[in-house]
Amino acid sequence: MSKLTEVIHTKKVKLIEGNNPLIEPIYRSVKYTFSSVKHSISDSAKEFGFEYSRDKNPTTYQLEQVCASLQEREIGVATSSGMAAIWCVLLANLSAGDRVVFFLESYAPTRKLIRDKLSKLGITCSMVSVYDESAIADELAKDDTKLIIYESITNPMLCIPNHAWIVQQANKNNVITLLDNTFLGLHNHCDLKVDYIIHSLTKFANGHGDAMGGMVLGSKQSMKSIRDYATSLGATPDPEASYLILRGLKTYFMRYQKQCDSAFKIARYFEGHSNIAKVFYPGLNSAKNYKLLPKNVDGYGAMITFEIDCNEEKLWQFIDNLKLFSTAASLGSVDSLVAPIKLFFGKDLNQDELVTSGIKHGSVRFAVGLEDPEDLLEDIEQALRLLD
Amino acid sequence: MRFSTKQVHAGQEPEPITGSLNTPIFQTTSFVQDSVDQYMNKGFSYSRSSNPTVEVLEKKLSILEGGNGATCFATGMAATQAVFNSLLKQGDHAIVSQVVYGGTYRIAKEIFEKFGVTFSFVDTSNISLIEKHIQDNTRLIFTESPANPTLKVSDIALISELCSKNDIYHIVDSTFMTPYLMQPIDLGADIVIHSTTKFFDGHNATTGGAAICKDNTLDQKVKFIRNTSGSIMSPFNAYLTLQGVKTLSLRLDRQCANAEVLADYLENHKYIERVGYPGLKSFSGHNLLKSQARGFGSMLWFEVRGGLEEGKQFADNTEICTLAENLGSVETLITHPAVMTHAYIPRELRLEMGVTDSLIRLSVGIEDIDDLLDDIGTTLKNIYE
Repeated sequence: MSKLTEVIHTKKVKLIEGNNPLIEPIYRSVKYTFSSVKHSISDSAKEFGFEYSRDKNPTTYQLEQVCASLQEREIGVATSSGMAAIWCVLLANLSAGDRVVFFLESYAPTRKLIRDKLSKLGITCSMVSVYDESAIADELAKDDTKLIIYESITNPMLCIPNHAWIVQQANKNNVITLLDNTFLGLHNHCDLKVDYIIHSLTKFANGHGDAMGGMVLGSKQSMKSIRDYATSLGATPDPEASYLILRGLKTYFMRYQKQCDSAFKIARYFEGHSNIAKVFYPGLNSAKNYKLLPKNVDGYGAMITFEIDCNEEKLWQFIDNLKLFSTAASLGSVDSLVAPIKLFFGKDLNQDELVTSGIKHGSVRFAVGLEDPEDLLEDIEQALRLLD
Repeated sequence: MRFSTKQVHAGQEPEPITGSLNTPIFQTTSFVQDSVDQYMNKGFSYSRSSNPTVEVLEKKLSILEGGNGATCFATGMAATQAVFNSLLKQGDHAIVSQVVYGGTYRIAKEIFEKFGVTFSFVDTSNISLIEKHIQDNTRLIFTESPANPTLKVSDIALISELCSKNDIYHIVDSTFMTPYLMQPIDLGADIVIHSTTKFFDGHNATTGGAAICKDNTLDQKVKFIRNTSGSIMSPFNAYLTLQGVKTLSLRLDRQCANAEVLADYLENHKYIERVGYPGLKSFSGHNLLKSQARGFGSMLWFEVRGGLEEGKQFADNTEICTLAENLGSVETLITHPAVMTHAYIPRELRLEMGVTDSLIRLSVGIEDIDDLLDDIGTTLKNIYE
C-alpha cells in the first residue's frame, strides 16, 4: 500500500480479548461499514447495526438506552435539543386537520412552536389554562383533537397540572399524550400512562451547561415512526454532546437531590420573607394543586419562581445585584441562574394571558445550582437589601 | 464563600465577548500580538507557556487549595517531576515517604539519582525518624498522606514545622484527600501535588496533574520548568477537569460515605483478614487524620483469607467493582498493587511498606451502596463456599 493510501486507510487498533476501555469511546465516525452488501441488508444489521450517524450512532445509542431505562420506557430516541424532541413527536403524530391541546402556562418556545408554526401546517391549536379543567375536558372531547402536550411542572410559573386526571381524560378520548418531564428529572413519573415523555437533556441530564440534547421516550408501539422522523428531520445530536451528557448522567442523582434540597430551603426562606410577595415551589404545602402531585415524586425540582412587589426596572436591579446567580436561560446545571420572567418568557403573551398565567412585573425564576445554599441565601439577602 | 460554592465559581468569569457562562476551550497554539511593542500585554503568546482555559483551572485549584499559584501538567507524574526539577540539583538530598506511589519511587530512583540527587525513603508517620534523616544538603521532604496504597497517615502540620525549622521545602502529594477534605498549605506545606486524573476529573476522562504553591516565587519556578520541559495540560483536558471539579464535594461526600460502610462491612466479614481505612477507629492514623481533614477519603484496602491466589480471584470476579488502574472516579475500581501500581518496587521493600501480595486496593465510587455490598458479598461467597 502506498503511503498516500495508508494515511487514509490506517490500520485498525485491535484490543485483545478482555482488555476494554472503562469508558466507551466517542464514536465520531459518520459512516459504518458491513462485511458485505448482503450483511448490510440482513435482519441483524437492520436491528442492531449502525450505518450512518444521522440515523443511529453508538455513543448516542448508549445514551438512548440509559435514558429509556431511567424512565422505564422501551425505546428512547435522542435529538439535538429538547425542542427538536417536541417537534419530532408533533410531526410524527399530526396531520392537517388535527387539533392540539396545550397550556397557556407552558414553556414559551413550546407555546410559540404550536401557536405560530403548527397553524401554518393546517393544524388547529387550543390553548387553555392548566387550571381550567372544564376547558381542558371540552377541548379533549372535540372530535379533531389528536394530541395534548403538557409539562410535569409548568415553566416558568411552576403550576402543578392534574396529571392523573389529564391522562385519564385524554385516554378516554383517544388523545395522544406528550409529557415534557424536564423539570422533574429523568427518574420521576415513570408510572404515568402517557404515550410520550420528552426531555431536554441540556438540563439535569447534562447538568454542566456544556451540551444540548433532547430525548423522546415511549413504548415500541408509540415510538415506531419516531426514529424515522428524527432521521428525516436531521436533528440528531453530535456524538460529542451525547458523550458529555452520558458523563453528566453519572452524577445526575446526586446533583438533582442536592439542587432540590437547596431549592426547597430557599423556597421556605422566601415564604416568611417580608420582601417576597409570593413564592411558587411545588414542594410547599401552599402550592396550588400540591395535593395532586403524584405521591411517589422524588424531589420537587430545582426551580423556584417568586414575586417581588415592584416594577420591572426594580426587578432588573435586584437581578443585577445578585452575584452568584447568572442572568441566563436554561436550568438544571451546576451554576445557579436567574431569569426575569416577563422579559424572558412573556413577550408573546397579551395582557389577559399574562394575568391568567400569573406573570407580573416582579416575577422572577431561579434555577438553583450546586452552590452552598447558605451562600445563595446570603447573596439573595444582600441583593434584596440593595433594593431598599 | 463556602467550598461547594467555590468549586463552581472560583476563578471563573463569564467570557467577556459573548458572555459564555462556561469557560471556552481555547484550542489554539498561538496568540496574536497587537504589535511588537505590546508583546504579551494580553497575557498569552504560545500555549506551551500558558493557555486561557488551563489558566482558569489553575486559578480555581489555587483558590480551592488556599495557595498563591497553581500549575497544571499533562499528568500527576509530570507535576512531581517539575517540582523535583525546580527544587533539586546535583548533590541535593530529599526525603520521600517510604510508602509512596510507585511512579514517584521510580522517578526518584531511576531518573533523579542518575543526576546525582540522593533520596531517603522514610516512614514519614514517624517524626523522629524523619529528623534523623535530615542532612545538611536536604532540600525537601515529599510526603504522601494518606499513602498509596497502605493509607499510612503522616502529620502534615508537624512535618511542615520540622521543614521550616530546617529551612527545607515540604511537598505534599494530597491526591487521596483533595482540598475538600484537607488543605496541606493551611497546615504549613509549601507545595501540594495532585493527580487531577483522580478526584478532580472524577469521570475517568482525562489525565492531568497540578502543583499548587504557597507562594508566588515557588509557583514561578514550577512554571519555568513546565515551560522548558513542555509537559503541559491540553486546553481540552483542562476544560473537562474544570467541569469535573464542579461536583467534587458531592462525589466525595458519597464516596466517603460508601467507603465507610464498606470498611465496616469488610472488618466484620469472616473471609477478610485485615482491612485498612482511616475512618475505622481501629486504624492507626484515624485520630491524626480526623484532626487534619474533614473526611477519611474513598480509598481502602483489605486482604482476603488465603493469599495471592484468592486475592487475584477476588479482583477478577467482581462485577460492579472494575479491575482498572485509576482511583477517585465515580466507578468503584479494584487494583492489585503488588502486580499493578507498585510492581516497580522491589518485593522486599514492598513488603516492608506493608504492601503484601494479597492486598487489594479499592477506590470506592458513587454507586448505590447496596449494589456494592451485594457485589463484594457475592464474590466472596463464590470464592469460599
